[in-house]
Amino acid sequence: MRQKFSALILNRRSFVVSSSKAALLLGFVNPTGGALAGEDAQESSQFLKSYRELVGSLQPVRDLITLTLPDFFDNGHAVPFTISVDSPMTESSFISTIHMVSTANPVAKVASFYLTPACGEATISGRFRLAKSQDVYVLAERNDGSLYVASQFVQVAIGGCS
Amino acid sequence: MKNPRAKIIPATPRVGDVVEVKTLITHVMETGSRRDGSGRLVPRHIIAKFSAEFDGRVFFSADFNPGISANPYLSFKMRITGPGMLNLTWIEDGGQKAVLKVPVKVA
Repeated sequence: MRQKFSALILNRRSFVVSSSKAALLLGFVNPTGGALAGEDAQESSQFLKSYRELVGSLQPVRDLITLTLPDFFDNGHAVPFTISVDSPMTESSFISTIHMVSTANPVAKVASFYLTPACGEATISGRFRLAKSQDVYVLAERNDGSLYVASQFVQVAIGGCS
Repeated sequence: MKNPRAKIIPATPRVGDVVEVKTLITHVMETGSRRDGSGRLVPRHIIAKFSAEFDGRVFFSADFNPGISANPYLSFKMRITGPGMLNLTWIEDGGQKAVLKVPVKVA
């Protein structure tokens, strides 16, 4: 009996890992790769619209941002996040805007943060909702107009936003 | 929207230090996509804006959407230029405000 049970857990676990990896891959390929349209994709059309609006004609670079999110979290109502962008935060070089966008929430945009050199460091923490397991994107804009991106898949046991 | 709270860490920094400002406020952050017992949509009611001002200058602000959790916790950084007053403002959809004044002490 016990053996059977553990075998079940193992199966479920390997399934969960492989499916989340597949989702991560999808999320990575879609917004940066240009193969955006697919309605069967995991991202909501609202996410794709918001993402396109925020990025505009720029090519965001996967650099500078450290996104600290749990890989797995019990409660989608309050998932802790920390966004830290590597920047000296001086008048000549600072991070001016940070956007947080969810790929599968009813409202794609989660929050936008506006910073100045007086912040000293571009680090923000808070708690946000995830309606279900999904990729979360963070875009950071530097004062010179360059754009940076980071993303992570977060799996939640209970969805928030309900 | 009640009980705004904030803490500067460390409490008595030196000039030039970068401190953490931790903020918390009690608010339902109703998303507008949730249905009540009878199946009707509960109207959206959230804090939409937050700003932090030191000596008359807004140095950090945020736009919140329904994806921000109830009782929003927000932490950010601030470079200490001297003693003064940190004014924190939370603004609801309808324009209602909560304001908290936090004296900044310097070692």
